[in-house]
Amino acid sequence: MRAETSAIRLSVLGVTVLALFAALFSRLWFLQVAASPGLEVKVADNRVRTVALPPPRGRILDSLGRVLADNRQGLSVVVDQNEIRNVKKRAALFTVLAGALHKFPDDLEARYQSPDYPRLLPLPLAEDIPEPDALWIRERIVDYPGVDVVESSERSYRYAPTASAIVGYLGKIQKETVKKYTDKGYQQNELVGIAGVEKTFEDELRGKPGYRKVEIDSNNRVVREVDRVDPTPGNDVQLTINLQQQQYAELILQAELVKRRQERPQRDVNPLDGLLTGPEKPKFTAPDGAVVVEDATNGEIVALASNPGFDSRWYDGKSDGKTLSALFGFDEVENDQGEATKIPRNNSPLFDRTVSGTFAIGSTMKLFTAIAGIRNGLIDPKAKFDDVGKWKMPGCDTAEPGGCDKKNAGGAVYGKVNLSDALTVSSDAYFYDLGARLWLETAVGTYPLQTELRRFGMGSQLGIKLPGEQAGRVPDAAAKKALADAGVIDKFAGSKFFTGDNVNLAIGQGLTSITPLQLANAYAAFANGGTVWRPRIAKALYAPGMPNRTFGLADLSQGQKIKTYDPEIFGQVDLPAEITEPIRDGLKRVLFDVLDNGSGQPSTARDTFKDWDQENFPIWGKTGTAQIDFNDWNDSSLFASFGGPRDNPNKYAVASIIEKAGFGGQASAPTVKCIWTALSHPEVMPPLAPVAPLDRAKVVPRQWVTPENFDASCLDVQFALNRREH
Amino acid sequence: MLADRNVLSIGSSSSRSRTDSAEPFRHVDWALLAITCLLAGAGIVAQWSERVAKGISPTSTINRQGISVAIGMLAMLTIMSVDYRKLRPFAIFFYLATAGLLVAVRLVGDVVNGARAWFSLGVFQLQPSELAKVTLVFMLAAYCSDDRGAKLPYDRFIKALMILGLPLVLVLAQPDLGTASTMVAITMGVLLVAKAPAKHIILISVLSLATVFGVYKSGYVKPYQLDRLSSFINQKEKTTRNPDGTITSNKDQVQQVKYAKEAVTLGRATGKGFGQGFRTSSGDIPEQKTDFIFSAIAEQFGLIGAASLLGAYLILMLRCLRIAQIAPDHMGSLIAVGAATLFAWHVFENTAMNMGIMPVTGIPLPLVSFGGSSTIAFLCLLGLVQNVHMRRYSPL
Repeated sequence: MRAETSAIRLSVLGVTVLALFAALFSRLWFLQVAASPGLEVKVADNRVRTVALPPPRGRILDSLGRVLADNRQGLSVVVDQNEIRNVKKRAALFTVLAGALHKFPDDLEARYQSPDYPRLLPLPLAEDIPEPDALWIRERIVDYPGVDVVESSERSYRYAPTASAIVGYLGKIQKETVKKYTDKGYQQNELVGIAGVEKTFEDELRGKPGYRKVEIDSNNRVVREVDRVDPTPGNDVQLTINLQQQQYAELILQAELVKRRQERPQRDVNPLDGLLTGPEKPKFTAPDGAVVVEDATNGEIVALASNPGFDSRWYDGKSDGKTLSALFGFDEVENDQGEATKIPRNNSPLFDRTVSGTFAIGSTMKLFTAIAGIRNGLIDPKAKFDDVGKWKMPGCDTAEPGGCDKKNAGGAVYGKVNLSDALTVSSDAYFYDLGARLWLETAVGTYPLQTELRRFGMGSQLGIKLPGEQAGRVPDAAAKKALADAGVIDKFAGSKFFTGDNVNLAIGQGLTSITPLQLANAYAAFANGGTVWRPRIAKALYAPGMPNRTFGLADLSQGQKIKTYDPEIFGQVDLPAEITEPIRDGLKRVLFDVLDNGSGQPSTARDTFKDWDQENFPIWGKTGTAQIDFNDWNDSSLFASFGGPRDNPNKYAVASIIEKAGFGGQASAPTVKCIWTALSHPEVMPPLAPVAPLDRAKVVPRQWVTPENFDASCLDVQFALNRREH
Repeated sequence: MLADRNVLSIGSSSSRSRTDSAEPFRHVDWALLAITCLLAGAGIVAQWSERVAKGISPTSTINRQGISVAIGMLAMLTIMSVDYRKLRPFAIFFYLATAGLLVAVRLVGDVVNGARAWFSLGVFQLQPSELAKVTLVFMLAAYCSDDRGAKLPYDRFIKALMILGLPLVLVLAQPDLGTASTMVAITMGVLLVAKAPAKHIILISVLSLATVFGVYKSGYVKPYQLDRLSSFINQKEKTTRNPDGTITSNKDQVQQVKYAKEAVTLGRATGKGFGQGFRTSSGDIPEQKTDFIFSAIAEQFGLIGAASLLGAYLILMLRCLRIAQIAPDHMGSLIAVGAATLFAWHVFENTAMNMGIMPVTGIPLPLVSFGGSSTIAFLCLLGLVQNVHMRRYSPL
């Protein structure tokens, strides 16, 4: 019995062993006999290894040739991966090198382990190290087997943070786009444009990579070079922006925001005695703003300022993930329902409000409402409308007294006004009425106002070559339904398009949503007689190798232009004189006039522009105040305008929006006036500020020249003007 | 023929030529000895060829492996010369001595590939866990054979597991999952043949699987070990951020297995020849002369070479099982069973990981992988098995 059990159990063991070996034999057979015969070819190729040579990236220049993005020779420390395959050796090397590279051994180990760095290429341990450190390592190179100090190309943004939002920055290829880039021949650890022009002109800037084919010996050491194709550097992109103008716009906007944050809306006026009453109102928060300066004659962008902003240099590869997420990450907050939601930290400094932000544009819309009114024969520009300060919605019926009334801003009464007067003082009643009639007195579904706005490019992407451009929204029944389906507005509101929606649209409120770029571009189209441009950020492409005139300034005259980005037309709007003349008259009077119909009402931008030299540098403009919840500290301030020197009066269009900062005449009009001052007298702009090195200890998205040492309320510009005159 | 009959008849207590026939060295298992020498020789040739392929001077490797084999052979002969049954009282001593070494290596050992498992003795590095496998086999055989009853009683079963437990915990602490798995395999083999009730074996298997799962979940396992496992399971590169902030990835492991598999495949039927082979010469497979020597053999000597090697191991194991069958006593039988299990597990796990069908663990290919401690330990174990075979006719 005992012997039998023993024997059975031994046989069990024997059978197990045989079974295991059967598995081994069949696996061996499968691999060596049955497996694909193509492997030999594939592997034989491996004896010759191809090492990619990334091309030097093209530069980014402003319209005058200032080098906004450049390549700088840096020194990097790399190590031959074969030398550090052994854990012990690697740990030893990393321990001694870490100090010299100002890193922790763990950081170096993390790089070794990271899948971003292919095993075949030398592993970069530190990029762009200071010269003394490089020297220190070079002197001790024999003690560090496999380590080498090599020259590397580093991107440098000489003028950053100015124009950072336009220029953008580079970054590692993001996970979801790896395939797209590797298909184009990129190495996985290469840097690509992630934002701004660096992203949209990636193909032009990149150039063509070269390669080295090297034969390797059994120890992975290079025996000889079999073949070499040098990389072709990328092309230089010349932008349309003028950097000095850009810097000025950014500083003016920042200064205005800071200034507005000190102010409060006026206290309410008691209608009985005209005295101020009620409590102090909260200060304006003025969280953000945008300024667009466009050349109305060809669609070139002169300046695009978005605030808050950032500094491209945070993305130079030296900032760790922690810093970047502290700057540009998300904060978790509780929303009204007590749920945790993520909001972008620092009020989204990476978000370019000029092309990606969409806003209600308030009364700056009235220009287009007027056009639609005249074109559809609904108004006679000369006819007087009696503005009694309020206007009753047609067909509205409610028991509440005045419940159907819509009031002018501040309840002002403008008296008898024609179109020009209505624009001058921004009579809401006039445009409420026109908006209602544009809906009620036209054929159903023709949407005359919406059609007009779409002709001017609103509601569509204009096609500027900057990432993230938004189309905005021109509200109609379809747009409302889409919003209701998305749960943004309630089902009833989304069920159809009401007269009230058109009334709101007529004064740029309600569901209207327009980008600052669209606003400026539409004003530019009005200025130039109806050509709606496709706004351009790039002027031309230059072949690599363009020499510099001086440090940081490319000599465009010696460059070889390989491509010009010609003006492109988005659309054409028919603007006969009977439409433009009364409107131009109104837009001009916005800047200085007082109504002579007995109401004595001043124009909306009179305070700001009354001293403007209209003779030599005529400008036309319109204020806008976009209200949210009827709290006046929530008013967003807009100003859109066009103008130019006497001999070319329709040269530029300038638009500004500053959120939660008061009336259009209070924040945006002064900002735009500063821009016009600079356009008319470029010499008053401060010179390009010398760029201070990025202070990495101060973790803020952008280190502003603070208003303490820069008062950009145009006062110093005025002061400079005065000084010039004396 | 006559001699054969003589041998067979001796079992039936004829005392005619006892002194003569009982002379142990007359009963050496020559087949086993031949296979042993063949494998040790094949190991030296394989390492030689691997070094040549890599363009590295083979002298130092061959010398070191040669010395290890020589020392191992001497140890084997020494063990063969002393009746294993006389060594039985000392089993506990050997067992505790190696356990002591395992404790010592925890305190003063060197770390290689993440495991603190080596003593640095000048030119030679001693890995006590290799010796521990041999002493574990001997200890288990000595303990489990005490009982000659039909079944191994429950308390002895548990005590046998405790015998396993001490070195197991110590090698796990190094951490060395490969050796730990070997120890478990040996114990299961020995307990099976020692007639532990099947339900106990099943129960303990379930329990140990649960333990493995628990350890895996507990986070005690080092990230590099998880990387090895995950690289086996999904064969994809993955980077892990550990709780302590360090970053590890299984990139090396995935590539190692990928290249090893390629090397095996490239060998085809006849192999690329001595000192040849793309993957072997490229140096892309780390640890090739130790844990991944099979990939070098398969690439250089092809299916013929690799299958012959596996065949040799198979014969060796069947020989051990045969010795277990004809052993003069239960203890001898269990020694042979332990040896067979140990070889089977090592060969299976090692070659299977070379061919990408088992996770990578640091288990050498017996007698063929470069490494002094393991070579000597395996030769000692084979000495014990020979010892059993030689004393089939010797009275204690």
